[in-house]
Amino acid sequence: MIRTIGIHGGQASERSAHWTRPLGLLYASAALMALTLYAVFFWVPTELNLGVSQRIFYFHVPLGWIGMVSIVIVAAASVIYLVTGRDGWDALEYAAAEVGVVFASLILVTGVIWARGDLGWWWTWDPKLTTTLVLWFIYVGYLMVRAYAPRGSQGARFGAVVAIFGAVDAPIIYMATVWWRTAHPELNTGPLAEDSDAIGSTRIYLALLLSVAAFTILYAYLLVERFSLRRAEYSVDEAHRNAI
Amino acid sequence: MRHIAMQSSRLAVALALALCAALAASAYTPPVFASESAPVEVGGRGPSPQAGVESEGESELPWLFAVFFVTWAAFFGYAFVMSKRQRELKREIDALVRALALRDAEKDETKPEDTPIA
Repeated sequence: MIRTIGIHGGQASERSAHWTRPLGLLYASAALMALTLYAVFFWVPTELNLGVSQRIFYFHVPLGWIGMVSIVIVAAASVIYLVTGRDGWDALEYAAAEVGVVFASLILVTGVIWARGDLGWWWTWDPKLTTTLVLWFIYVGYLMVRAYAPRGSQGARFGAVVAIFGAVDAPIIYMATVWWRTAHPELNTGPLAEDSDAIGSTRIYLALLLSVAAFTILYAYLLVERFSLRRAEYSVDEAHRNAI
Repeated sequence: MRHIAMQSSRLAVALALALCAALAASAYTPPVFASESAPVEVGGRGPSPQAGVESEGESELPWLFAVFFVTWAAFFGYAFVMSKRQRELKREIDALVRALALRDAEKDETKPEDTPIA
């Protein structure tokens, strides 16, 4: 529980707002992450062409997945906020954007390092890489709009509009390797993969699923934490306004 | 309030424990990468090994280490930032509680004069 303060009938009083404590998510994430690390470094076979550096795949793919999912969450929460006007949706939207920018930054950084190690270059203006960079700019743009726009509902509405437009980028990133010939590897798994058996090893496939689950639960934990913190910040702002 | 201030540090501890558990498990594993299984090829058009660079070996380990390090540094960094924000929020709440309590006390002192006892 977090203690917040408010004014009721002109009197200062204290009230308690529910603070979500997602300890189950935290422990599940830690356990799965330990299993993932073991699987990635000691259980999966080494890929023939890429060698040891292919193990970056088990970090890069989950980060990419969450980076795209997060912008969709931001956009969905934005639409609901614009319809209902409830602060809770705005808090969710902001929390998803802030956690999402961490994951989006890591997609780019891990991809760049992998490319340098395997291909010898840091960056190329390939459709998949470029649309991912655009996603990162959308996240940063959203956070800048929220930081510099007027406080309150007007800033929240501006941010919601940016997020809704930004979400269009997620399916473009996903489909980039299908629509264009790119330097980025094509889809190796999922309904749109050309070769459904492209991964070729049950161990690699299971380790990938495990790492996606571990990072998704870690994301959920961070999201709930940030959401709760954002709601507490709203309560404090409200108390400040009432106190003045 | 102490609980929320500890949330991010709990995250840091849990992630550190996950890392330690994986490293401890490695103590019982031969010091080679997944030697039990033969190398496999992941299909699909994708990056091919750079010419003249050995496809498997120690030369690629620094890149793997760099990704591993950057990813965890980012998560620990974000946990630290959230923890700092929670501490700031706690300070703000404490200051507000004190200010409002003071204001209420001042009101209570002036109240008897305003409202005559029946």
